[in-house]
Amino acid sequence: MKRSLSAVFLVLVLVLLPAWPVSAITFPKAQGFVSDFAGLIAPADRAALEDRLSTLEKETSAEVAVVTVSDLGGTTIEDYASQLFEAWGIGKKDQDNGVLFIVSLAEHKARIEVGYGLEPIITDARAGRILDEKVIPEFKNGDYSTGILQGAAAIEEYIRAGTPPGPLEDNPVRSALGDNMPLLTWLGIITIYLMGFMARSKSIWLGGIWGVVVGTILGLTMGNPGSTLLLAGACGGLGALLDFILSRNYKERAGKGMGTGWFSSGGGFSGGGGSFGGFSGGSSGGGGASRGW
Amino acid sequence: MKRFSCLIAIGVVLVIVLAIVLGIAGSYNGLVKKSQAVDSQWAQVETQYQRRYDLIPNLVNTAKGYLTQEQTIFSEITQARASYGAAQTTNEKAVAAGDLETALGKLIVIVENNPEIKSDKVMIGLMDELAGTENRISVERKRYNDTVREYNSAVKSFPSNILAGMFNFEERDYFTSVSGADTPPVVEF
Repeated sequence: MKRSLSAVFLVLVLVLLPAWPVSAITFPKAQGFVSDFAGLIAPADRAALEDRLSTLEKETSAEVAVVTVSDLGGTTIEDYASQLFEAWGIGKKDQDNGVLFIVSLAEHKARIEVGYGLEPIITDARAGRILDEKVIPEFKNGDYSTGILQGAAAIEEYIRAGTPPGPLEDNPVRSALGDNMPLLTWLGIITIYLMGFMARSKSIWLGGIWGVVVGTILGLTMGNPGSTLLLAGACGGLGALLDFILSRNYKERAGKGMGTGWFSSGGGFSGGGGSFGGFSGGSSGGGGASRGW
Repeated sequence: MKRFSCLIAIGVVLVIVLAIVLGIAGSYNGLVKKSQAVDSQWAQVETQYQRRYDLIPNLVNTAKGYLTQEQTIFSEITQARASYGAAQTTNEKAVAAGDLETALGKLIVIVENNPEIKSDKVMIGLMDELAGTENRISVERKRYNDTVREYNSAVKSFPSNILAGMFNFEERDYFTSVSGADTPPVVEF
């Protein structure tokens, strides 16, 4: 009986597993505003550039990523750039004010990919002109560092002249959690409130039912029926267990603080160290220009 | 004790029913959401078609000055543009956009083979805008196909396929480029 139940469960898990879209290329993590994977930028230039782009982000909220790669893994620079832009999410989420300046050594290709929000400021023609006038001549002389520095400076100039909207007023915790922040907060508050009742009552039903409700709500926010059912079941069990523990220990411990860990595990936070806190979820639609040298 | 186990049974049934109802609602809403994502992504593709449509007169007028003996390509582009402008349905638009792409492809080859026009600053800018627009179109089309794939797999996979059948969520078509649009155009001089 037990075995067949677990077999059914396994089948359910396999059937209901959400199908994630598979991206063709896996990208490394950003090293900062400057990610010199191909090692083309002189160390002093790199530090200066990182500093400038960080200041630019603070003052205008626009995010400029400078990336060098040794090769494109067989795809075109346009395809690579738009996928990398999407993977990193360069630019602020609701403003899409990011720019990706990417150089690939093996193919001798450079591209400036512009986020949706900056398209009116850095038009395709302007992006092409930056590459033609500031970048490619230096690249032809083999001076990658200077070319990249000049190109980034020209991008910065356009952004400052165009003055995109000022810094966002929302806080970083909020943007890390996305739109689920208020929901999670409320679920957490209600859970803490209910825990008092769970501890005092002998039954474990309150915990179980509340667990199912929480699991269902969390599942629905993911928009996947399979995960909704699984989460509802799992959280129901956890809730009943929590209630059981709380009820049993109530007399000895007066139900303080126990088990608060089970709902806080739903967050999945990631923290960036140093001054570079990661890019902010902006997107691009293939605008910009490419050149070879 | 008997009453207690009766309560347990009722509780279990209630919880299961609640989970199923909420699951169905979530699944239905998911399908609606995905279907609308497909529509809005197609609108993105058409926005870029429109951008190209608006760009052409400027491009043609500038290039015409250099290419006085190449009048056929310009009338071809103008015609294709006009038929895109007249297109009503999504299908007609897709076909007309394909024709326009072929004609513009020929112009690009002509310009690249003409050193004089290739070094003109205005022309370089216009060609960048055209290349950027073509790239935007291909990016938005790829994303359109991604959203269609996500929607179609929801329509076809268990358990949402049951709901999809009940509420008439039909599979959507992928964008496939019009034949001839990928092959580089041949230009005779």
